[in-house]
Amino acid sequence: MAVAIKGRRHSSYEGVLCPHCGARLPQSRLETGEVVCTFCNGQYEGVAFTPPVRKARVKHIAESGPGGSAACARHERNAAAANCERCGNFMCNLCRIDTDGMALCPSCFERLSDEGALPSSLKSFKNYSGMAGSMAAAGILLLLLAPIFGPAAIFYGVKAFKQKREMGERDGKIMLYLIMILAVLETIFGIVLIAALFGVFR
Amino acid sequence: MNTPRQRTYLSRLQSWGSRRKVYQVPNGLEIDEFDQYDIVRKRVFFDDVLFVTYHRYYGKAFLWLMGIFGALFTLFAYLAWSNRAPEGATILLVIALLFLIPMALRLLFMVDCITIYGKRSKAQLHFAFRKARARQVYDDLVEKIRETQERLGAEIASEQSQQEAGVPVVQPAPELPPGPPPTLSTPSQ
Repeated sequence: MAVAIKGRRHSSYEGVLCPHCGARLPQSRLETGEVVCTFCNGQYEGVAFTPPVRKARVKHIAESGPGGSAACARHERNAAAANCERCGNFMCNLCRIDTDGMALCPSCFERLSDEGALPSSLKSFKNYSGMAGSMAAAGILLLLLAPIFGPAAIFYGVKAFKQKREMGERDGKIMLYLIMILAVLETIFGIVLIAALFGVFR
Repeated sequence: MNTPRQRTYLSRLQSWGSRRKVYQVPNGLEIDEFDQYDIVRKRVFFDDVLFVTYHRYYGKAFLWLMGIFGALFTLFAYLAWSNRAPEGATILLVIALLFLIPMALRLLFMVDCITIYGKRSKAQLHFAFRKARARQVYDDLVEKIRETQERLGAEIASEQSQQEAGVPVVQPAPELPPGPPPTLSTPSQ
């Protein structure tokens, strides 16, 4: 018997749910075409897929015969299928990780992933665009401190541009330009204001 | 190593407590969740996708909130008008319209939502106004997912057939009798 389980409020992933009521849909209920949810009668279009599963076939040393293949550096009974492109160690199909156009062993993958050198394994990073925006806004609110917040906004804006280039993003650039123009203007205005307060223009 | 990848912006969702942006990359979707000054990235890979849905919703919370504020400011405007303060009433009516217009637009157009369920994660794309774009993104994604999974299926099938043709089926080897103990003597030159 199918039981509706409300899962919309949970942050963890709970599998395929009805997009209207959040009831869990078992694999057998995934249909292609116009679908009506049996729990809430909500209508939606759906396309079901059956993703193919790749099974790693591990060749044993014993299969390759004498002198047939080197052993994997981690699994001495498995025949090596490739070399790690970073450290050169032999690795079997169990150890091999194909990522960012490279075949890596688990330890090199871990290391490069920790260093942030693998773009496809990045999980969290700084929001420099947000920081630039906040600095620019703080400069407007506290005009006397604009000569500090303005350059900070420009600094983070430059970092945000660099980040966008590295990630291959094209959106949000106009907003960044506007933030940087605002930062330059508030910096100038802040300096003029402080100079005026100290009587430089008298 | 850090070759720039092509990330195409698809949609954003700005709700009460969170902000998300969804991008398309060659092998899947990337969901950037903005948390203060950090961005947490999740991914849905095309070869992992189980189900893609397209539906429309009103967003009850949004409608209620806009409706309540709109009604409240309309009431204030009426009170100001009845107390012979037309300027105040006009300002309050304009404020009320700021809530009532988005509510009317939402009732008229609804929000189109595409949900992509993977094996381990999901991505949601919301389109409040650009309906044609939503349909195009949905069709493109379905096509791309189908292509990716068909290509992967063909790859797996060809690998299997190669293995079946090239590698002889190996019978489990009988257990060998224990060999002689290792000797410590070095081999003669």
